[in-house]
Amino acid sequence: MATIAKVVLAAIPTIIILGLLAFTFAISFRDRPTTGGWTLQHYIDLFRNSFAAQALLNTVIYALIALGWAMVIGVPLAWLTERTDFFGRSFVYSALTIGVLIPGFITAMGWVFLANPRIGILNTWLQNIFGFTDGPLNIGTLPGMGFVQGLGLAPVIFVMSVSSMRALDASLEEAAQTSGAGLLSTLRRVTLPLVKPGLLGAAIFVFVIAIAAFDVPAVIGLSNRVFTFSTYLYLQVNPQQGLPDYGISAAFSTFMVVIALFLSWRYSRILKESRRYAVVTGKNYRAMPRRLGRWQIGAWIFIGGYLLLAQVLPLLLLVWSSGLSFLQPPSATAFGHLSWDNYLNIPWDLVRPGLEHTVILMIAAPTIAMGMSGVFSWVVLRSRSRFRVFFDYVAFLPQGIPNLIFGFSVLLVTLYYGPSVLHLYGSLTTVVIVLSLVWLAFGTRVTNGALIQLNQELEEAGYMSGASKWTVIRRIVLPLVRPAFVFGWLWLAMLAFRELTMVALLNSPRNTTLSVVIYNQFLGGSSGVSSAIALIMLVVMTPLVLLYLFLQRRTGGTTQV
Amino acid sequence: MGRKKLLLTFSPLVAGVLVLPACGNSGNSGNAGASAAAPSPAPQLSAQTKTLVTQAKTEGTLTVIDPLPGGSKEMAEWAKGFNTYYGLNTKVKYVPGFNIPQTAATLGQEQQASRPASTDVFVGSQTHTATLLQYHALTTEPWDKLGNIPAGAVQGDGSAVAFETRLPGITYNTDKLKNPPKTLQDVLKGNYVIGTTPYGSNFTDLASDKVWGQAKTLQYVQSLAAKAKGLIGCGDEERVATGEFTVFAIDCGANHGLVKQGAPIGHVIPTDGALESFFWGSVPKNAAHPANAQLFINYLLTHQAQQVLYQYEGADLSLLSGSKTAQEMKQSGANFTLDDINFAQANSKVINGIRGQFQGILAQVK
Repeated sequence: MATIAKVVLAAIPTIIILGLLAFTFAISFRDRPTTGGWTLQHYIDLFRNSFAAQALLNTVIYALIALGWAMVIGVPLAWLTERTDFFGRSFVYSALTIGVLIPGFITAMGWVFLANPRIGILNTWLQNIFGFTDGPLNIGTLPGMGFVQGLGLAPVIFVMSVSSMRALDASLEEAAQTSGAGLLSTLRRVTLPLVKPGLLGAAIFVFVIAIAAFDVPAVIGLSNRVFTFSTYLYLQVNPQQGLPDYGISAAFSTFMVVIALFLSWRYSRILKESRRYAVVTGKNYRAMPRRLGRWQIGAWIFIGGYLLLAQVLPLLLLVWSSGLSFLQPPSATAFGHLSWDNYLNIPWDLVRPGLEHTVILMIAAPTIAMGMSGVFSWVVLRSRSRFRVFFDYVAFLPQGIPNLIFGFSVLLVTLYYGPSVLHLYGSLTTVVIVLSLVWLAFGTRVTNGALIQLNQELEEAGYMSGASKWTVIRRIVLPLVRPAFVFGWLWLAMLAFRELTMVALLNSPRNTTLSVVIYNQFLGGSSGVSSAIALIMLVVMTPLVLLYLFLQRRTGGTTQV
Repeated sequence: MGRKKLLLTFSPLVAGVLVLPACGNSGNSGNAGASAAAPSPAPQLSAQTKTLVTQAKTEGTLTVIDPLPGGSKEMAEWAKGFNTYYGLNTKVKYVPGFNIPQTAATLGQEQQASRPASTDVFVGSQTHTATLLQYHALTTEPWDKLGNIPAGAVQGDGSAVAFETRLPGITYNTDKLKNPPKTLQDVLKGNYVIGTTPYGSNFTDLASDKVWGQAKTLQYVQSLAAKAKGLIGCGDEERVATGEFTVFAIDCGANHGLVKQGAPIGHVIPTDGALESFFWGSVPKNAAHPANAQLFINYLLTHQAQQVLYQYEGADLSLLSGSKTAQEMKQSGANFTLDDINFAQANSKVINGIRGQFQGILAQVK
């Protein structure tokens, strides 16, 4: 009975996830969302639509550039922390965790102030030093946007590469060195091939994230007429004339789902094939770090350079911007204009409800997501249900499909079909539900990992002692998996705090979050006020990050997520 | 982790949530109107207005998605004055809505889906108000019975009320340009860093036969799109002040607020395309608080509200006696084309047909 109850609980989000995808698919063939007949016209219009084609091409290029930068930064960082005697390991973990805290659109805003071709401070300095007539850096291009996105995704590559790097048997590398291979040769011919499946998997995962990314394309791309899938979809749902064209948006989304499903299938195949590359055998494996010697300095320069570009410079620009009524390059005159005005003029009547909604989101969405994930993991790993493989696949589905598509589908469902009595359209409840669903993929990876490590003998001992299933769960399982649940919850709470993509798409006066308030102020030309609110937002978030880092240290300083 | 440490770690976050609601209580909108004691109502309210006041007291709330640059401070003053004027205690909820087309699209789809409107008052241009009228998304009200609204300010078959005159033109950076462009054709000739709107602001109005006509406007938009360095929205004039763009054309009117902050921007009304357009207030059909909405729009036409408007926007309604904007228009010497809802409806075929084309050209879609 308990198993049946869990299967039913797992079935509810499953039906919602599949239902939303099916709804989007259906809309793409309907003349109008609620009326009219069936048609292929939306697909014909899509493939004839040069705007959509351009957006699709831009998206692929943008995602590849972002992936490239993320790999170039994330993989070496993982190698440094896991395969060498680099003594800044804890610092790297902490710094990258803090990096997740900084919302992507805030970093993008900072880079607009830094590298805008006409007013970017870096460009101004380069022009003054080298005499360029035009600013050499242009953040408002696909390479520029891809660079900023890549900086933000490097921590994801890092986290996903760490586990592969950690498990390598150093004897293989030692054998290579004994044979006379140098560092680069060993890396190229031994280390990288062994971690290739893990890296490929990480690359596919990050590529899908980059495809759906909204923060950077919205802040930088829109005003520079560089459109990607996310901003194209956003503009279709929020058009500059007439009513939204949901049909073509649904057709585009369906097309992207097909691509994403293919990538997701490849990802799962790679994960299965990675067992062939397992080098952790038996109890005698021992990872020997490589000595860096003088290269410690080089490693610190590399890490310092990344943190400078990804975190320090954008934040400094935000601080600078927050003190000015309008942005100016640093100069004696500009310093004279610094004031607290933007902080004093913060629209608290907007910030207050934005913060309240954000806190609700940070508490509710991770709780529901981790709760559902626990149920899913139990059904997949502990039950004998014939649907457990199917449930596992469905839970993983949101990982491979751009989140924007779920948001788009939820918007249509609540607008046209949601019962009025539930007030779902434009509500914070809707945002909580959709975020909980898309985070199911992440949550189940965490809870699966926690349950896999739990030897079933402990539970069996409980049953043999006469404990009921619920008692076993409550007194044996939960205490042992609690650290993983807490880590997962905290991580999702931080993601909820910085979330912009979904909340911007579903935005209404009833669910505006702090990130949307900041984004709207930025869009409305109040960059100083938006910078001030963003900085306050980061300060308020700091305790959560400190808690995460504290718990991380207590469990051995290793990343659990 | 011990409970004490947990509490200490989370206390700043909790404190933030608890303390921040107390911030900004001085002179802000939102609850300002709701917390003040209801003073005696303004005298000489018409019978229709009194009926609405009774209904408004039951409603208790007003939500306004407001695209005006004056923002929450302007709305706070209006909210206070509004409640004082009618003797109400209405909680005025301000939502920034910098993108009028987006708000109009949202209202249109909510109307089609029979959902409550996101805003009780739609503040928009004549073009977007006319679009909503096409979808029958706005109510018709007896505005002339409310007392403050002159007949000439009501259009759209009694659906919309003009409350502010906008004089679209050219915003420029005064530090970088000592000789700004005087006409729209000048914008193309000079070596300017041009920003323009993604929604083709006002180009569709220029395309009517009364102004430039379609062919000339299309050619202009194509030339402008080729020279423009980026797209910015109305309200984004700060990006001209920073020097990112030296010229913004065609804007939605002067950004008075930035000028007051000392930003180096100026505004020119182009002599070859002077338009007298307006911001309109209307009530969506499925507004949750229609009585408060009507009263609010009526209030915007009072002398007090117009003074607040001029203070924040640098413009008021030129149709009212004593209007400063009307004086400025006279002093400019330009020959203005009246660009109102009647104009938009009369030219709707041109406008609807050509706007999408302009937007595609401006977005530089190849």
